[in-house]
Amino acid sequence: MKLKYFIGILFVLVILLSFIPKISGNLTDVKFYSTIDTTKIIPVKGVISEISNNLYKFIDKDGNEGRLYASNITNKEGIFYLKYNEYENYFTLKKFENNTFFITFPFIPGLEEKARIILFHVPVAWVSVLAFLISMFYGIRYLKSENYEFDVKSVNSASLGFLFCILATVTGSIWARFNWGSFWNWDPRETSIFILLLIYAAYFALRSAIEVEEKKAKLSAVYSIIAFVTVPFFIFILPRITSGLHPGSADDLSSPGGGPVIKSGMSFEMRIIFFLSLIAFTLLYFWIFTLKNRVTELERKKI
Amino acid sequence: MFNFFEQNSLFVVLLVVLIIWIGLYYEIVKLEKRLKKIEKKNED
Repeated sequence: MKLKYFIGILFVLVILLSFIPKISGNLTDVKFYSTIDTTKIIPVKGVISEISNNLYKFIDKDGNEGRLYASNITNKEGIFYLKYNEYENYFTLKKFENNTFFITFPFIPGLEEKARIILFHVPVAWVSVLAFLISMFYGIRYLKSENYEFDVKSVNSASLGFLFCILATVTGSIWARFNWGSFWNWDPRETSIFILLLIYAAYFALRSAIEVEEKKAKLSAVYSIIAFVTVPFFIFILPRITSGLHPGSADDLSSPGGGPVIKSGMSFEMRIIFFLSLIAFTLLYFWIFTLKNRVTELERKKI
Repeated sequence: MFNFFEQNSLFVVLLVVLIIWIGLYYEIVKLEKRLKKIEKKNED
């Protein structure tokens, strides 16, 4: 099978698989007023049971008991999440539901449906790092052989990496609006990707500033190597040694001491789909990369 | 607008996927333009 068809099928599969599975723990929103001290941990997982008319008992997973007044609770037995809705000033209950589809995603408090974004946001960021790596690889090869072909490949890869880097920033900033409250929070990872964008923007500025082809190729090859040296520091090290909002930062409780971003809260099924998405985006990158190389090759022949 | 996305957070995921595809589409449109230029030169 040809690669392009394989990529197409893989993407259809990934998008379907990331939208169809339900988050277990969805639905049954009930407005109620609580006597539990919900300022401690929100949302609280627990079991709800009826005491008398409109009076319910809520026991959270630590055994803390609370009374709440509610009406129209249809499913009284089960595990609930208590969530305070700060915009409308009431509490909602979220109950676990049985799923009809064979794959389910875990209910991550606070993330809920938005947890699916990780299946697209992280692979895009990963592809940008890969593209910058390949840009450096061809930069080194150019310096070794002085073959013009490698210079072209180095630029093409860097420009694709820049595009993916912008996409990762934009999607991340939309996600941040809904989870952290504002589009830009100067979280360590946000700061470092911003600096990375500036570094690679300077790369293109450098290229367009020099007119002599040989000099341009040589200087930009050297610059692409130096630029990539900063990438591991900005993407992998800095966000893990400083405390921030992203998972995997130094003060993240789910991975003490800092760990991989995808570690927190992902179930086995979700991880499989995540890696499928990672493969799909990587292959897509290589496909567009070869397409770009072919076009530049044609352009060169015509001159 | 914000409230709609806040209530239906599945649409936030849709928005993110659409943005990624718009970005990739833009890249392919740019490639197509370059190809067209080459084709024009070929004709001349």
